[in-house]
Amino acid sequence: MSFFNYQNNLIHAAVAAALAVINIFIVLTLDPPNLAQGVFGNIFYIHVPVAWTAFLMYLCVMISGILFLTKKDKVWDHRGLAFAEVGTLFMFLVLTTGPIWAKPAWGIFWPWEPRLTTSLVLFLIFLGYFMLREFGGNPEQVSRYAAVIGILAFLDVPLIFLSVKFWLPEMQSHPQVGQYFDSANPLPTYLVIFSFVSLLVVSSLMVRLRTNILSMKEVR
Amino acid sequence: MNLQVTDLSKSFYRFPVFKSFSLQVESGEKIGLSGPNGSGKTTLLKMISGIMSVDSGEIKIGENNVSPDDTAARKNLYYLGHSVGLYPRLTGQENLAFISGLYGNPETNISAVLTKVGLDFNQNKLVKFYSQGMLQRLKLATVLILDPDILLLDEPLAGLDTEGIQLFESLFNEWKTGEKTMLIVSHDRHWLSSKTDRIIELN
Amino acid sequence: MLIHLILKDLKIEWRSKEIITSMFIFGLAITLIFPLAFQVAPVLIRTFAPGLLWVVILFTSVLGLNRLFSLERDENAMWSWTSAPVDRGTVYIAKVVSALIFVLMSELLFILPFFIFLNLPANFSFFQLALILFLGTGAIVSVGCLISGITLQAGLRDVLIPILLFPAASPVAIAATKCTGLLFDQKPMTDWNFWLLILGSFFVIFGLFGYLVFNRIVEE
Repeated sequence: MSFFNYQNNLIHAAVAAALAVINIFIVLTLDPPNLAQGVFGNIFYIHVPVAWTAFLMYLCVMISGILFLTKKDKVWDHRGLAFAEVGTLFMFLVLTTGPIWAKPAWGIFWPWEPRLTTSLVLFLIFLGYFMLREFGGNPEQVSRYAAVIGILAFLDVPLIFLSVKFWLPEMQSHPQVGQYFDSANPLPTYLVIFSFVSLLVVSSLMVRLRTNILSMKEVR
Repeated sequence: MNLQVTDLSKSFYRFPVFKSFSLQVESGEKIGLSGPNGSGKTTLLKMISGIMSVDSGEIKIGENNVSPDDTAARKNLYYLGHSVGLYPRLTGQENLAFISGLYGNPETNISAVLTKVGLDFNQNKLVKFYSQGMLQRLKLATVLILDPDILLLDEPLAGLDTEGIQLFESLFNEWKTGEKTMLIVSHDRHWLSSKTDRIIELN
Repeated sequence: MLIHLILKDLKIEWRSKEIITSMFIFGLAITLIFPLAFQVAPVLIRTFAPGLLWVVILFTSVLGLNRLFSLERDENAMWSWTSAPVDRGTVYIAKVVSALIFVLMSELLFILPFFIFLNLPANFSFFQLALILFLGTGAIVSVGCLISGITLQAGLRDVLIPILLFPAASPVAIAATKCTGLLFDQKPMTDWNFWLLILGSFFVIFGLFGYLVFNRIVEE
């Protein structure tokens, strides 16, 4: 039976669509948190929540990997792959919105800022993850390998972040994102949180749909 | 030592090779495994020996589960496969000493064992220069060194010359007397039926 | 048992000297190519030297790890320990120790030509350099042995090791280069002990992780 034949999945899809439309409206019409950046400043409402969602997806890959290795239940392998795919898609958006925002805002495409650099490294590890999935051989073996890489990737995150943060202090001189969460003007904070929640609904729908497709392929 | 396989399942590229397969082998019993190519004979032996993972189900040797986390089950068995399973760049003597060390066995009788299997003049030759028959004799020497309770033999006569086959037959009689539990894979059904208590057909 | 496993690798390498020789010659080749390709003044080469050293070590480690694990693949030699009553975590530790010995020995061989060709002054503590090399190399091989174990039975093994290792080891590249650069600048150890801590943490975290999961990845 198709995924969208189930009522709760239809409701999930409808809510995701509605939130996505509202989110796009906000991003396109409201003032940016830093007026000096003009329309490019609105990328803040996409870039930050997309980054949070991407990292959350990768955290879920790690958790799925741990559960697959301990419980040996195939559904955790499917979930892990689904989280990895959705996470990598969102991470690609982070890596594209980052330079689009950075160039007009700070004059350079790539600021080597710790969060962005950590995102790039994670993205590269997960490209390797997909190569392993594709060319690693027997799917039953590859499931275990992918679980280990998924855990390894997220274990690396604090080390990558710390090392880049203290790597070249002169590279960190551009304005930090944190200034936009100014308590005197809470609107950007609320909008980013709303954006994050709507992206969670959309990404969870994507993960559930993808997990369903993978599970159907498994059945013989 | 008895062997119990319960509800074993295993797939390759999503094609099931075993689906809820069960097998009970009593201590000292000799079981033949027969079947066409791709029926899972070698796969079963590899899963029992711990070389290959199991998708679901349980394999027990005595009281111990065969699992990656548990070494106890692997203490008393040896898998004699049709692949070499030895280091080509070590000598016969060094390979035996290495495996002996892994099983916690004393290494003192290695030369005597190599003489018994007819490899005394080749024990200091690198394994990569061994012929197929010499490799098979070296694997038989490993069985003699380790003296396991459970033997998993995969085409044990492969590559052996007439003298080698005679050697195997005499060793087999010793193992039979010693009440070893054996699972033997062979395409020669006639030979298999003369050596085992029963034959299981895998398809 | 750990000693048996380490001695086995050392014995094979002693006979052929294949791993150390190939790493040394490859390291020399990279050391030659970089100054030729960059064509910069000697004083700038000295600035690049710490980073170049660790690029050489990373590239040669990939070569060494590939060869070290290929020994297990030849004639399915690994069946000797996968079917034996050996804790596979112990096998991982043995591989890390063997890899560490081989890479450190190749470093010992190419460090002198490295200093000579790049005209580097050697006015620092060799004990401190040895400490950095030990921790940095240990960090690389701890994650490298895990990745090599994963790709042991995978297709495209030669390609997957660097694709997965280089992004995962990026904190090592940063921290080791920082330590080495500050050492070459004759800064006291207190100035770079944070980076030593990063290296040590990486070594411990991935060493522990590798020990815990290795039994799951070596089965066919």
